[in-house]
Amino acid sequence: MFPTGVGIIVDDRGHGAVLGIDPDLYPEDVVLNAAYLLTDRCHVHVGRGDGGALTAEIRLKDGSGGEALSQICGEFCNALIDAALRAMVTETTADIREALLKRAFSEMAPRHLAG
Amino acid sequence: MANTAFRDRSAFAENGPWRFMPFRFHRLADDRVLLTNQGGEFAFLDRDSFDAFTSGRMPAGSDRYLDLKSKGFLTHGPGESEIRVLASQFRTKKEFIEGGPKLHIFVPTLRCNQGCGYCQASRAGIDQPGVDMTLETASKAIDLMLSCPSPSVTMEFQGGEPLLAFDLVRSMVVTASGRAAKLGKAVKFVICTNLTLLTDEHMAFFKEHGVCVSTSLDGPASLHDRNRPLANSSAHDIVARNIERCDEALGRGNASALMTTTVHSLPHAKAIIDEYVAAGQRSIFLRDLNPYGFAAKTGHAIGYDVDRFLDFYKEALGYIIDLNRDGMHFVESFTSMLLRKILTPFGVGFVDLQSPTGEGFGVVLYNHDGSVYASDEARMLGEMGDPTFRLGSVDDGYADIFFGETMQTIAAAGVAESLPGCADCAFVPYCGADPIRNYRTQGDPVGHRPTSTFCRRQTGIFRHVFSLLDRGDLGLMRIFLSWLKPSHASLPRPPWQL
Repeated sequence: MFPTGVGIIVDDRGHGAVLGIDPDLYPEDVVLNAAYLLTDRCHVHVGRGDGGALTAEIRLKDGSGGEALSQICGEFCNALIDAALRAMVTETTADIREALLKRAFSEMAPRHLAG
Repeated sequence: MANTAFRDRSAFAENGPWRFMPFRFHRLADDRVLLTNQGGEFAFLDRDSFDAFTSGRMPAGSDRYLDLKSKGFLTHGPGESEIRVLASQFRTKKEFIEGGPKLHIFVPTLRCNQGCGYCQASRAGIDQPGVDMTLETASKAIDLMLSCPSPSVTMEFQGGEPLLAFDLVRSMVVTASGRAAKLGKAVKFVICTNLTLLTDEHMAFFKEHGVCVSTSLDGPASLHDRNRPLANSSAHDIVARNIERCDEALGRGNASALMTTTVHSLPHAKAIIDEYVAAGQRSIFLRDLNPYGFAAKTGHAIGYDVDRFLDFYKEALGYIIDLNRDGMHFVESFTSMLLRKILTPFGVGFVDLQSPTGEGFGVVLYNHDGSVYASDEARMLGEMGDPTFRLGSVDDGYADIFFGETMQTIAAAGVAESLPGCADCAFVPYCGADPIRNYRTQGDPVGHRPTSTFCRRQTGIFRHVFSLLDRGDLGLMRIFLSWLKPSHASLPRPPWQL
């Protein structure tokens, strides 16, 4: 069982870690965005565990574990925070973004058509 | 008596909570955080201030609050005035898409007299038949160019070595000038030549028709001749001499040079810049290798990883800044284009920095065989046997070429703001999308940002430039701003700028 928020379990051989993530804190799109950033160095498998919790299984592509694995798990946790912040900004400013683009393109259209 | 003309100051006080405007962020070194927005505004915050901002704890009326508000990162109220300003900035940055392609590249011949290891163009031997454009093809290509909506276009001759087909080039310039005049359009001419075959006849024609010259200079003789070998003589000596001849005949600044960075260039950043200064050049473009043509085949011998190029770029830029601090006006062209996007509301016409992509939207290429490609890189792929980004031929209609299936494929992957890994990136207001490079290096036009060398290079350069801006060094800012001055902008534009 994972603790609230994010919990990490390292596999028996120390080459992979499974992170259990509370979807109330970090929804699926946030987890996927954070996982994407690691895909240069890691294989990441995102799934759902018991009770709807999200899981992210992380393995370094070079097969290393130990400190390197611990480091990448920490990086993933930080990436979750940044991804959640980005999602929050996107959500809370959606109306403004839409108004901004509408205004920009509506002002561009007459000039373009006139050209 | 109460003042009825003006409301009391307290009526304008900003009470209650403020709200975010759309923004992106990037964590720089030393706990500094860069904020950017769609209008291209930027701000630096330390980590504590960033936390206060993002958690809504930043006091209204504080200096940081006012700074962020003035740049459109937050608003107190419905945000109408901020939206108006940001929309205007956003529109200005994207104005380059109006009018269709403005850079039209013509390949009059594939033949070339040099054997450069990094050649992107899949050159042909000097006597090879069947690789020159016919007059009929050239005529149709010129008509296509002039059917684009833009009132002003650039016609650029590449190769091979276009001076090997000078009669054709001359005919095309005269024809394009005449047809453009009848349509009330303007055409700027640029010829990309290695200058080794330059004659007085060529220069007289360039002068008469205002043809700008773009050439290659890779650095000191030992480096240039290693990168760009010429049978039985030093290409460097000929090029250096002919740049001088061009300066005298055409006026200083009408012959610009480009360098390409190979692994042999990396230890010689300062010597390369000194060579440009000695050649009377006022700028240099620190250009890395492209993964196309011969460069793709020889990459193992002359290539390098992105980090080594970034070290080279930083060393070279540092040296150039030092030269400017000593009173010389000398510009690094790629940085100046970034600064134009960062420090002004305007965009640039350089493919790597355009979103929507410049490929097909800003640039189009007419190959010697009449094929029309979305860019020089698309042509290079075509010459390598992959016609994925061939838009059609000069026999096709304008709509078939520019609104066809291939352009739609490019467009679908050509807006950086909608690409995974780019959509959230703080650098995206200043960066671009390159679907053809993604396809070439990663197998699909959308690409995969975490493993993209293009993204790594762009991000590395952006991080460095923003770190320089974050220093608050007024002397450096004066130098950077001088690179954007109208006096500099009015110089003949090198071919990579529309």
